[in-house]
Amino acid sequence: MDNLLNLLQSLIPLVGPLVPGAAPATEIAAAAAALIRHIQQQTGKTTDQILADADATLDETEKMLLEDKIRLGG
Amino acid sequence: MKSKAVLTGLLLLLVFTSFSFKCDSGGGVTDPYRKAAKAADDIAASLNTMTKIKRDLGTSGKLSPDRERALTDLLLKANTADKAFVAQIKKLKADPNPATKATLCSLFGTVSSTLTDLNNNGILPIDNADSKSKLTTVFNTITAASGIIASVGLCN
Repeated sequence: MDNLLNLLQSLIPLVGPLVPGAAPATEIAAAAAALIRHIQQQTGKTTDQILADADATLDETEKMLLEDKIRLGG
Repeated sequence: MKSKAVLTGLLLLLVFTSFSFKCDSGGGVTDPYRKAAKAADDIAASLNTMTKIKRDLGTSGKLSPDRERALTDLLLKANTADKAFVAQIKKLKADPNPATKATLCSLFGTVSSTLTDLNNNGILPIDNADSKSKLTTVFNTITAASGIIASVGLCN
């Protein structure tokens, strides 16, 4: 699994440079990398810690979505 | 070229995520709630990723304001449902009893329903193929996590 993870992580930085100035792709690659990190960090955590992480992530997402609702005018 | 690379990366992400469901480390003793907790956390992380991608597509003009608004509302519903589900896993873990378990199963039904709605009314109607493909790939991660929750037997 480590090899797979290394391969996956090595692919992410390649997305941006393929098309110079392709900011959206870079942002998406960063978001995907963050998801990988999040999943990877579950290993070794207790169930309570995983649930606490889920709570924190859900709170952050809610905040972003409420900001987006304001930006989009309700 | 760019789309292919993004798609390849995200597909590999899905494969890796599927692997993570099968690796139940970090406790030694089998915890009946661990897989559900991990899957609920994966759903939370995927909704977070999808929100960031949606925001990026919206601000770069690849998603119309109307479409982004619809996705925002549907993501918020799914996020709220997962939040209630996580809270109920905590309750059930602290005090396992049939009533708490029944509520958990009902909340899982709500999570599933909001995810179906997110796909049918948020992602599938998107016209831009590239935007739809990116969001669909992350959504597949959510579907896999949802399938894990259904298979762990908490609601049998």
